[in-house]
Amino acid sequence: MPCAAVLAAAAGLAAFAARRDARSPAGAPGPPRLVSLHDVPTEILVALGAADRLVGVAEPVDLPEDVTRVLACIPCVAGAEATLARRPDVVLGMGVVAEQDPDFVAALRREGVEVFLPDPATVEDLLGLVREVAARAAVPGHGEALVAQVRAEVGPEGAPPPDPLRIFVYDCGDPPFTAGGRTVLTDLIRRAGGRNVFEDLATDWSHVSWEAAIARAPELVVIHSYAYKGQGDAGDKRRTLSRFPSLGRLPVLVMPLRLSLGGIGSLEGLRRLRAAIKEHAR
Amino acid sequence: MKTWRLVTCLVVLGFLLGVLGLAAGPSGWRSPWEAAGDLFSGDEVVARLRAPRVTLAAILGASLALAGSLMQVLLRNDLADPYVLGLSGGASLGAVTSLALWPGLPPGPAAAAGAAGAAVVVRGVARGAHDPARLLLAGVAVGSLLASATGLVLVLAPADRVLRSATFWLFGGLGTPLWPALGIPAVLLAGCVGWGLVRAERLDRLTLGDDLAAALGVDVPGLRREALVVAVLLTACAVAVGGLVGFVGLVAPHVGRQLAGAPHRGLIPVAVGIGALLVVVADTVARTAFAPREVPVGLLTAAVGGPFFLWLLQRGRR
Repeated sequence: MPCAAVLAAAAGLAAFAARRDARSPAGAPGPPRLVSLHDVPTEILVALGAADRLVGVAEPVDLPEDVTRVLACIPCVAGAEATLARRPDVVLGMGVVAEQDPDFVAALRREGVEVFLPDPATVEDLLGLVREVAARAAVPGHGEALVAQVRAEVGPEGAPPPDPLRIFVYDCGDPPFTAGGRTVLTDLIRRAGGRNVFEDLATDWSHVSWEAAIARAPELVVIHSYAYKGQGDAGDKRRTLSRFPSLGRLPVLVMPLRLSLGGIGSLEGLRRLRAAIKEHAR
Repeated sequence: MKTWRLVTCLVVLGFLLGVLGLAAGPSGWRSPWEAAGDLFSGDEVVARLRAPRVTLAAILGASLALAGSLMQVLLRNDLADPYVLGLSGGASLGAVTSLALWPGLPPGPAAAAGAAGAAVVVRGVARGAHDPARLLLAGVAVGSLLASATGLVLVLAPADRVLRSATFWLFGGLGTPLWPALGIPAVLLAGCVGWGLVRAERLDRLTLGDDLAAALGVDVPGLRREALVVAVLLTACAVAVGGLVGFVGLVAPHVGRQLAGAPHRGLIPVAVGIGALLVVVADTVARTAFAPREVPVGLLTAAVGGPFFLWLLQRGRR
């Protein structure tokens, strides 16, 4: 029996070693094997033209059709076992992945996999994220090109207008869940010429009270839309807002989730915000 | 006489705390006179947000206090609270299922249905409401089952939006009630308090044990059935409008007994008043202490009521 146990252990070790050998560590020949656990890095990889590095992706939540078409033949992964089975060199995600399942992230790191989980809070962070993802995909040149393209679209950060349009972001819920100061959406609003009325909240997303929202006298409401997968639409949220006369009569801009989470979609988000702020400027 | 003095004190204190609840809010403090003026002029903040919220807090606390008092008699257990018969599990399952399937709708009605459904199942499993120990054990078993089903729904829910909304609700988020939504809970509470006062003497006899109560002329099965229905209705209605607010239903009857004694004619109005005050104070803190953020009131009921309860216990020991 002890012999059998030793043999089994040896076989296990050999299999583990073989699996580790099958990875392509930095400096070794062959493109890096990447798994993406979040839409944001997935979309960046596709924009970098490095989708062929992906050996696994978490099921896309809200990606544009041209991106999901590229991902069609890449296996979906969920959980440590399925992720490790893809033998990744690097696992990409966002901070929310560790918040939701820290054990999963710890398990990946124990197995020697590099896990990259950024939390972008500004457009500059987004540019840094593009560079980091490009470096891990071994396409730094493509990264610089994409950064230059994003920077050109965003434009220089000018001086804020003297009296910017006040904007309330309504994500969901009662009391309302809204964007605080440490979100890409707040930075997008600022760059578009507005001001998030809760930008003073030193957090990313938070529940606030309706009374506080009304007291800050917003002039435009940005509704965060979860229109995908039957998670309720902007209509439900408009109905909720209509319960409060001073919020219900405000103009509304519906922003799909992916346009404000800190990925490439932020560019489209910025375009929509600029147009809405221009339209409703005093 | 003592009871009336206590009730008068509670009414006066309730009025003062109610005014404080109208005057204080996340957008700032208004003087009581200004708040009163804004209430009658239909001001959006005071008349539409603060006033219904303070009223809901009072109704919710009073309902849970009465339901807790009845549960403690029914189960002859000082640790019984309104949620003990699997009602919190049923309410949670109803609420998270509603949030997962119909995210645009408020989860209250499904939560109330879940709580009532759990009570029916527990009563069926325990074969009636006659044996307190059997009822309690059935409640614990059904509650555990429903809690695991709730966890399953949360894990399988499509995204963290459900988790976020459910978390707030599960800790007692009073939300933003509209005046018409308070009609049913208020009428139900008034009816149940009336029922409790009419049945007060029989409830006192029931605390002596079923045999003695029956010997004193109480229809024990009938009274148990009525008390169970009243407690479940109050709890289901409370979770429908305010989520799961813990601690109040457990502690308010104990504080009531310390202040007014065990007889239900005095206990019921005093416990109801204590429950209402406790939730009004906790809600005022929940709305203002972390402004502009808002925290679920259920997180604060124990923080507000716990020290007072400990003080009462210490005082009683001396």
